[in-house]
Order: sequence, then C-alpha cells, then structure tokens
Amino acid sequence: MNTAAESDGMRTYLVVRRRAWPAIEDLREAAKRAESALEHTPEDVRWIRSYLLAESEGSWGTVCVYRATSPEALRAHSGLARLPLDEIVALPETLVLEPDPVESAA
Amino acid sequence: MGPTALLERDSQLEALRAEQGRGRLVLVAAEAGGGKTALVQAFLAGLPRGVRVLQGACDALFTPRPLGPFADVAHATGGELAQAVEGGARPHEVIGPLVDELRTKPTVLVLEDLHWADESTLDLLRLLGRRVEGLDAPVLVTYRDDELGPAHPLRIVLGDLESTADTLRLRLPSLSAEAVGELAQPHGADAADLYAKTAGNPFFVTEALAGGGEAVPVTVRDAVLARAGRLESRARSLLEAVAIVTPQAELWLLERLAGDSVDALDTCLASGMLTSHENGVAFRHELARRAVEESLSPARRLDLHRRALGALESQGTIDLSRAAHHAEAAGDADAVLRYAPSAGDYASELGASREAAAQYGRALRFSDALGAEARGDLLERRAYACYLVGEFDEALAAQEQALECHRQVGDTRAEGDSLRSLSRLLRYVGRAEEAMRVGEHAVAVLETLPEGRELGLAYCNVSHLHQHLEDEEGTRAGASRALELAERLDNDEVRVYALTNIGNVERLKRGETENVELSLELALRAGLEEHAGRAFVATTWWSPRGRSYAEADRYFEPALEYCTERGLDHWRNFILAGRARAQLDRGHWDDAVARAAPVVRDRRTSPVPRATALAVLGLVRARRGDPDVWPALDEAWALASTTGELQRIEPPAAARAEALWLQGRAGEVAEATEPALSLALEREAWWIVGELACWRRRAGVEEEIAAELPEPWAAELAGDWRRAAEGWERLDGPYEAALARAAANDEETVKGALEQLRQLGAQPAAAIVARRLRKRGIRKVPRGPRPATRANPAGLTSRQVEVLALVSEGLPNSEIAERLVLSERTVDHHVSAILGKLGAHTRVEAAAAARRLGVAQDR
Repeated sequence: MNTAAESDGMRTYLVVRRRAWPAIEDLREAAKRAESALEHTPEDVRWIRSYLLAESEGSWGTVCVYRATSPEALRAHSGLARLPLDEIVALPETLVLEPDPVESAA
Repeated sequence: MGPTALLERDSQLEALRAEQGRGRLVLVAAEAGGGKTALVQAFLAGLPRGVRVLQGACDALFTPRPLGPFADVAHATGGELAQAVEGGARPHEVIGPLVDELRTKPTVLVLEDLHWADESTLDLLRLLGRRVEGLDAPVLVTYRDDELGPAHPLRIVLGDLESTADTLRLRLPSLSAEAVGELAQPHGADAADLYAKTAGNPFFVTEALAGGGEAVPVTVRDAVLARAGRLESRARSLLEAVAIVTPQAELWLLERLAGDSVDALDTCLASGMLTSHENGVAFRHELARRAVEESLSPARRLDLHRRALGALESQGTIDLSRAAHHAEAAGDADAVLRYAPSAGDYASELGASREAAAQYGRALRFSDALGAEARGDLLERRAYACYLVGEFDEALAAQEQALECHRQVGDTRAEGDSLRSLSRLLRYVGRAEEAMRVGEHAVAVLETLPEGRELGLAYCNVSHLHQHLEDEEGTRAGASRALELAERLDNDEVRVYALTNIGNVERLKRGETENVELSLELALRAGLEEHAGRAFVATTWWSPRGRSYAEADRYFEPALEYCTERGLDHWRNFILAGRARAQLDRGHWDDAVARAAPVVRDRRTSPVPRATALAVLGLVRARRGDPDVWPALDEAWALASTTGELQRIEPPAAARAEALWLQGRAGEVAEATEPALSLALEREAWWIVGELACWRRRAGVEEEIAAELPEPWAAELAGDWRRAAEGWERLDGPYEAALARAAANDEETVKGALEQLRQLGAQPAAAIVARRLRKRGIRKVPRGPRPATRANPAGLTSRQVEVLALVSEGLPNSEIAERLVLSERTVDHHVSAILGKLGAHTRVEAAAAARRLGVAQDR
C-alpha cells in the first residue's frame, strides 16, 4: 500500500469515459487536447496515467487517474479539452502489487 | 548566467519572444533551480534596442517588504510611480501611475519570485492583470510552482487571473538525461550519476559541475558548499557576508560587513557564484545563498547580522523590513522594538495584513521589558491584522491579552473598545452567546465615560449582533442609540455602521432596500471603504431568500469592482460567495463552482461566506454525482451549527438535506434539518421554512407547517406540481422546475423533467426519476444521450455556448452581459474567444456556425 502525500492539496481521482471515441485516431487527438489543456491549470490538475478501453463496435473509452484539487477542476479540464465525462470517483487508496503492464494500442 | 541556460528551452524562449509588444501576463513557473531567471535573462538579452526593461523581485525575507518588487521598479522609473510607492500609497493608488508609466515607452515588466510576494504586491498584480490587455507591454511573472501549497496566496491570485486576465503560462520542465549528458561531457563527469542525483534540475547540475569534485554531490547544498570551498578564504568570507543580506547586498553595506574581504569581490563574481546588480551584488541563485547561510556558525551569523543592522542604521532613510529582519537575527530586542512595529504599521497601511501581523508578532516576541500600555497597543494592532488575514484564533488570543494590558493600566476607554473587538471576534468563531455578553459589557464600560466614538461603535456592535440573529427589535434598539450619538458627535462612521445594520434587517425581513442604499451612498460619500464594502454586501447578500436575483444583479458587478479595486478581500469574498449561490440557483453550475472555489481556497475568508461557498461546492458535487460531497458540507455545517445565525445555517442545512435525498439516505433528512427548521420558524424566515419543509416532504416526513409559506414552496407542499414548476420557471430555477415536474402524474411531463435533469448534468436526480418511472411500469424510459454528444462543440466552454446562443439571437454584448450577469468586458473576452474557436470573422458567421453546431436552439 502506498499513500500519496496531500501536501500539494491534491487528491487522487479516477475519471471514466466509456465508448467516447469511434476510432483510435479520435482518441489520440483527444489526448493531445487533454495535454495542452493541462497547461491552463497546472496547479489544479495532474494527469497520472490512462487505461484505454477497447469497447464494443470498435469504439474506445478511457479510465484515467488524475491528481486534482477538486472534482470541479477535473470537469473544467475535461470541458477545456472537449473530453466527454461519465463519472468521477475518488481514489482514497492505491494497492500496488506489481507495476502496471505497459501495452500499446495500434 | 549558467551554462545550462539555453538547453531545452527553445520553445519557451520562442513563446516569450512572440509576446514582445503585446499586453499579456506571462506566468513562468518551475521548481526551485528550474531555470526561470536564466530563461528570462536570455529573453531580455535578445530584446530589440529601445525596449525598456523594468525588473523587480520579491525577497526571501521571512517577512517580505510590502510592494517589494514594485518598489524596485519605481526606483528605476522615478516620476509619479516612485512618488506613489515611496509615499506609501496603497495598491489601488499605485495602479494608475504604474499603468501610465508602462504606456510611456516600449517596455517589458519582469516580476520575479512571486511565491515570496507580500499581500500588497499580490493585490497590485491582480489589478495589473485586469488592465494588462490594454497595454502593449508584456508582464513576466516568475514563481516556483513546487512551493505553492493549496492555500498559498499566489495560487488564489493565479486562479483569479486565469479568469480575468489574458495569460500565457510557461512551465519549465527539468532537463532530460540527454541534456545533462551534453553538459557533463566537457567536464568528464559521470552523466548517469549526475542525472540520477540532480533529477535534471538545471541549477543543481550547474553547481555540481562547477564544484569539480570527483563524486557528484548528493544534495544541492553539498554542491554549493563544495563549489564555495574551492575559493580562497577571503572570497569565502565575502560570500558569507552576502548570504545574510537579501535581496541583494549594496557595496556600502558589504564594506561594513566584510571589511577587507570586499577586495575578493571580483573573485566571487568571476567564479559565477555572485552576480552584480544595479545597486549591489547577490547570489546567482537563492538556493546557493541559503546553502551558504545555513553553513554559518551561530556566532558568525549573529555578528554579521549585528553589523548589517549597524550599517543600515547609519543610513539616512532606513528600510524598516530589512532592519527588523536583521534586528531579530541579531537578537537585539531594542532594535526589534524600534523597527518591527513601524514595519508593521507600514505594511498595514498598504493592505499587507499578513506581513503586518508577522511584524507585530516579531515585536511582541521581544516585548518582555515593555510596559503594559505599549504592549497592549501592539497586541491590539496584532489582533486586528490577524483578524484581517482570517487567523481568528491568533486574533482572539492577542485581543484577550490586549484587554488584560488595558485593565492593568486602568485605561477604561481602551478596555471598552477592546471588549467590542473581542465581541466581534467571538461571533466570528461561532461563540454567539459570549459575543453578546462581551458586547453588552463593552457598552456598560464605555457608558461610564464621557461619550465618544468608541461608545457609538459599541452600540453598533450590539445592534450588529442582533442583526445576525435576525432580531429586528434588537437591531433597531442599538442602532438608534448609535444614531443619536452620531448626530451629537457628527460622526459618519458610527452613522453608517448603524444605518447598515438597520438596512440589513429591513432587507432580510421584508425585502426593503431603502436604508441599504442610503447607507451605501453615505459610506461612499464619506470614503469609508470598509463600511462601503459591507453596505455593498447588504445589497446582494439576502437575495437567495425569495430568489430576488434581478435586483441583486444590479449590484454584483459594481460591488465586485469596488471591492477588488480597493483590495477589500474580506467583503469581496462575500460578494463572490453570494454570486456563486445565485448562479447555482439559476442552473449555471460551472459558473457557480468557479466563483465558490477561490472563496474556499482563500484562507482569509471569514466563516459566513465560507459556509455558503462550501455549501455551493458540496451541493453541485451531490447534484452531479461527483465525489467529495461530505467533506465540503460537513465543514460548512461545522462553521454554522452553533452560531444561531440562519445566514450560516441555511446553506449547509438545505444542501445536506438534498444531498442525503440524492444519495438514497432520505431517512436521515428529518434529523439533519430539525435544528435549522425550528430556528427558521422562530425567526419567521418563511422562505427557508418552505425550503426545508419541502425537502422533508420529499424525504417522506408528514407534517403540517402552520404558516402561510411563500410560493413556489407553498405549491410544492400542496402537491400542485404545475403551479410549482411555473413558479420556479418565473424565478429562473430550472433544476427546481424539473424536480417539480418530476412529481407529475402524466408520463410525458415526467419524461420531459427527466430529460431536463439530464441536460443539467443532474445524474443522481435523473436516476431517481427514471427509477420512479420504471416502478410505475413504464418500460421505455429514455436513456441519456451518448456521452460524446454531451461535450460542447468546437471546444467551447459551457459559458461560451451560452454566449454564442445569445450572439446568434443577434443580441449586442451589452445585452448579453446583462442577461448572463457578466461584465461587458468579460463578454467581449468570450466573444473573441468564440470567434477564434469557430474560425469565424464576424458575429454573423459565428451565428451560422452556431446553427450548424446545434448551439442556437440548444439552449
């Protein structure tokens, strides 16, 4: 178990976007927008990692881990980057048994 | 400039160069030693001839000089700006001359190390941000982003600037392994080891390489000391002297500090550890200064500070902040008491209350030998400064000690006045009964003396306490005694204070605005800024009751403008919190949280607006199904529950009831609303009674309220969904209207309500309604739209979509501003951003795009 320090005033959240993009290219574009949108509020949102979801009918979704000062900061970031958003869940604890396996989609 | 200056900084440098001649705020952030100054220097070095550079830096003093960096700038420009800054003008008085100065010739303004800024510097930066667009001078601001804790004052200002100013942000990342390798190569250093130990921090890399040792040092400090260790002893001794002086060491000062070692100055400069500045020398980097300072033996440090103090004192005009700093470090109590209180007064005059509180605190630490009268006086000033920065516990402690001092001396007038201040503080922290007792005691004490302003204020304070309890009779009683006295003394302050109390109670009881407006007018005319701030709050604060926002809208902008321009942050936070609530009630949730968040983040926010802002945040989270609902609502409740003040209790009480209902915990609503409901009944606050009763009804509580309640609550409670929904629509409450419709009997209306809730992003309420429909056997409950279609088109923000919809209706900006309760400037902002995002050149083109994107009929 490891716990993230709260000295930066941030907490860890999971953001779910299901079946959000019809093709992987759309998702790649979205990722670029997401990255440049981070520049606007660097004190409020940090993007930690993303899991790409291979969804039905060839579409794509993501589950992303962020550090953020509030759920609102995450919504503002999503709005700025034009990312759909289904749900924000708080992640109060992380249990890491092994590091994430790194896969790469086409 | 270090050898690392330009590695991997091309894109940032290019971005900076593109700003030349444009009025924009450029925020350059990096960790300590991350290369901010190096980047700025490289940019400045490449400026075309004829461009003036104005530079100022915040100092690493524990208690920085008020307006420090702007004082540097003013020193360079002279003229009216210098007159204003040197004459102790406050930020809103300095901004005019500053802007005028920036207009005189092509200029780049550089403000460095803003993470150390004092409060008045931040106030001035905020004002500058609001005006930078109209200039053709870029304003470069550097700061360490790894030192900004969640409540760091700079962070609040940055958030503010993001929404009001044209800003460009540049973040300097650490150097890559490749770059470190490139730098290590000529030194023959172990690149992998260097990268591992320095993590690519440019300053650390430079120091480690300059140290030239065999092994790479493990910390920055080791690297700096190793480098210094290679210098001859006189040069080292000079470095030590420079290390205790910030922001820079003037040559005359160095001579007093280092004696003959000054001869080694060239060696130090050539080594690159020191750089020369206009008025003296300084370490190339604060990290190096600190490393050397920390390596000093206590005796050597004491001796250097003593000499620095002596040298400063031998000057004609003395810099109070610096003198107080060296006096404390030299352990010289007399000198601390000579300079710290005046430094505090100066800071306080400029509105830098944080620094003022610290200076008074410093003086008090050395005040053992001081008499009770002088100590009491210092404690009073410390208490007030702490109150202004929201440190209520500290303020209370100082106020109680001050009271004790006045009693020892037998100064009855000071005792009475101190009791009044204590009463006010007790109320702030929620100790309502003690506040009343102490407030009445203050009156009794002062009534034994010949009447004066203090007694008038004491009457006003008691009246004010009654006003918070929504007791009209009590408010009027105190206020009329104060008004009579004000006439006899011809004192505007007492007059305005009393009248605002009366205005408030009339406004909250019956919606009457006459006295509120009158007190505002009087306060403005008499130049009583604090009281004008309070009167402005009175014009908007009570509008959630009855949702009379149309009237409040007339005041939000001017109130915000007034408080922002004068640095009245205490009242500004009330206005922002009130506006957040108004936007929430009108269905503009994004805007509501954008206004509430800075109020919560600002540590100085007093409990009343904090409770409201927290309730807004918690409620929006609950309505969206987002996490962190309860930390916000529980904190709000803790600020409110013991106070007996409905203004604090209602927001979290109603929000908690709704959140419980949304989260399927309806069974807990009755208990959660009980105390607030009985208080609202007792205070005859019928709007709040209706609101709470309605949530209790939704949660299944069967009860009769024996009172005539206002619409639309009455319609809700009577089960007349149609009348309720129409009522909510008239009041511009889309969420409440949808909830009312959801209670209809016919399937179509409920489905419409469901759709409306989904459009608002109210997932939990939508889920409740959908479940109800299914329970009633309706199979085809419409599903929500696909997530991808919920995002706004063309990268527009929700607010921009709103603006665009109105643009496409052909409205001019002035009218759009009015409809959306924004300033016209902000609308201008949005419209140009929209045109940019849509690639449209005219409003007509934008309107066409709006129809294409389905924005025009969307809302």
